Amino acid sequence: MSVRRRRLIARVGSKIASTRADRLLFPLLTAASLASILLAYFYRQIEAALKPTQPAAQEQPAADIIARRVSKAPVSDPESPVWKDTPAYSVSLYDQSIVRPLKTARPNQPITVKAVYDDEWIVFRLSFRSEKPSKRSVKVAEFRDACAVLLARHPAAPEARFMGTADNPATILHWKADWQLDVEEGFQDLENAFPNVTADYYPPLKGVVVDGKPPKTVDVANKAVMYFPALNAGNPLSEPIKKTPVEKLIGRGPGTLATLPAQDASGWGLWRDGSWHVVLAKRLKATDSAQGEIDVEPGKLYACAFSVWFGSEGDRGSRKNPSMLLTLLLQ
Amino acid sequence: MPKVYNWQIGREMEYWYEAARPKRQAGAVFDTNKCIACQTCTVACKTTWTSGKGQEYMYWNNVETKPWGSYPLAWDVKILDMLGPQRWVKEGDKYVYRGLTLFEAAPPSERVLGYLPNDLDYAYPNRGEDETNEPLNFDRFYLRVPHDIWFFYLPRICNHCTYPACLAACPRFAIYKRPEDGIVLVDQLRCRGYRECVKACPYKKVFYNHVTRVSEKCILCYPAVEKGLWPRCMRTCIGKIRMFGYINPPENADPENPLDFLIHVKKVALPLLPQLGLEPNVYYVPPIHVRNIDFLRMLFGPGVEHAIQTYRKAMSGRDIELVAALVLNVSTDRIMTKFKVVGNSEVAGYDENGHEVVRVPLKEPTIVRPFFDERLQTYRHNIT
Repeated sequence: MSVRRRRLIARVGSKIASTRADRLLFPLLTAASLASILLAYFYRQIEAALKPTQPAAQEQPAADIIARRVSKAPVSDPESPVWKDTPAYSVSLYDQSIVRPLKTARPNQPITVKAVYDDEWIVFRLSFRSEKPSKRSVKVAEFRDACAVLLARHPAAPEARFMGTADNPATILHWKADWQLDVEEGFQDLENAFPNVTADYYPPLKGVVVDGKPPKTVDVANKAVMYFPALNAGNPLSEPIKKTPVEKLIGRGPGTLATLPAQDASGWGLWRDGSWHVVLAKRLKATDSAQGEIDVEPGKLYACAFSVWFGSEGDRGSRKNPSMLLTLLLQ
Repeated sequence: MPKVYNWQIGREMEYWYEAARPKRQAGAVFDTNKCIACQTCTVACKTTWTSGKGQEYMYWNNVETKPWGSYPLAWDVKILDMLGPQRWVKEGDKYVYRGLTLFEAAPPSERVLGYLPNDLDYAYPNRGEDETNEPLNFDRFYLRVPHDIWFFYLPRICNHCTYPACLAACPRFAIYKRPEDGIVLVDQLRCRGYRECVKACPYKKVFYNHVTRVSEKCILCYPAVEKGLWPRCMRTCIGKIRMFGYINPPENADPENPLDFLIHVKKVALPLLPQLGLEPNVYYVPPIHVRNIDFLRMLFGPGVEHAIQTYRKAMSGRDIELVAALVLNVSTDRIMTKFKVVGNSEVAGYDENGHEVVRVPLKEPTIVRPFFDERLQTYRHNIT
């Protein structure tokens, strides 16, 4: 503080402004002080506006799985080069010990999860050991390999990993090895499982049995739909002509799983050297939002979980190995 | 697990859900003494419901020869072997099952004790057909009752159990028991082919469709039942062994209802493997000619000796009312809820509106025609 200013203040403090000069000087000094403060403030504003922008250290929420943004996400290609540059996350699978029937055994090795997204799709790639791939479920005791991705709002209750909850529905992408075989090689019919099958007559289908062999289901299903009860009821599992091996479902807790109307999920599985590498994809923008399908947006956190069914171990339904509930971030 | 009362085993037992008995329970009585294994029931069902592709191996209705026959293979001995030795105890004037039911014996990870058959198990529907319990030889006199050497036919359909194991086992509620008539159905839209029901049903009457890849079962011809008509397998029965209708629990038994009369009043019709705990609703009049009473006890429970004695007494003409209820078998295809003996010579059956739907003689008249017909100037081979 300058000597002059100290004197001035001393004068203001010690003597009540008694002289005329003093009475003029005090408001003048106050106005000058205010003006200097305002000038300093504006100077800083102008300086900030003129300076080149510094990249702000954005705070990203921590996530267990981070989906990398790519220009074109490989929605049905487990061998795409995109996957080579994508970080891999090791995810442990556990026993299913909540909903009976349980699966008490758990796999020895964790699965590997990768995730990417583009403007339209989010795609996951799951890799898991399956020494003996099970690709069919035609016979009574045959069960197919399968895997699934579960997505729900974050934060989610821990029980949401079992197909969501009533107030936080889970969007589930479910890849099935038998559906893929249906797409790849054509519908796995009765005669695929029982090559020596013979038939003499199917009531509504005169003349379709040639040389004692039954007709192909895909050729007769529409002509005799009443004789395929579940197909007649509209059950998507019974549809012999499959377009994708991935089913898009909604779950609001155990036992509530339901197929969504718009079956627009994508994916494909590749079995090589004792492991499945499966991609499962859904559109970022939900096509079944009225039914509870989740929208996925970059920069947001989501709850996610993964499950694997090992057909050779008789897995189906609740007999599965699920992961814990994890978090997913689209980078 | 909730506790439910199962009157067939005389005690409360554990079940997956709370008890919810239907308004009325559709059920049947099969008289094994009259079954000739003609398989007309099997064919009637097959041509009506399971003639599609993927259903070839399914027999919602089958007839197997006991003791050796079984479809699927060894269904009964397999589940009994898994359950292990159990016991009935006489407490007062009734038997109480003090062993474990399939629900109580289930491992901690399961809902029901069961097993999943494989394809070969379904490959021999006629295994053991007409085979006697022991090899026939000429040292044994078997033309007497009970027979030294024996077999009998056991027609089987879904039992539409009061406590269905299939329903309890389904983790996604795809199986339901209709409140109006107790018929147990698989929802063809909800089923996802997990086959938990196939595994759980001890009678193995839920089947996996190879083509639609979901499970199916006997629907008790509910479209007919809703119109007051009998299911196909029952109304086509050549041997007239079957009686279809509605069964009340014992505390509400109506002695005028032919099924209640046979099951609760006369106790001549018994459930199949009641010890499993499902309270099945198809009842059997046990075969009176089988010497091995232990085998019958295993199949039909501890009431089997009483049932056989009661049946034999009726057949010897000492119980007209029981004969009356039994001759109503397959006498009509209309569901009867009441019956009445008319003038000691006839029996009449009435539907739920009280309309008489059938009247049959207690004993068919016998007419003997002359061996030589004077008018036609020919001999007859069959004169009665």
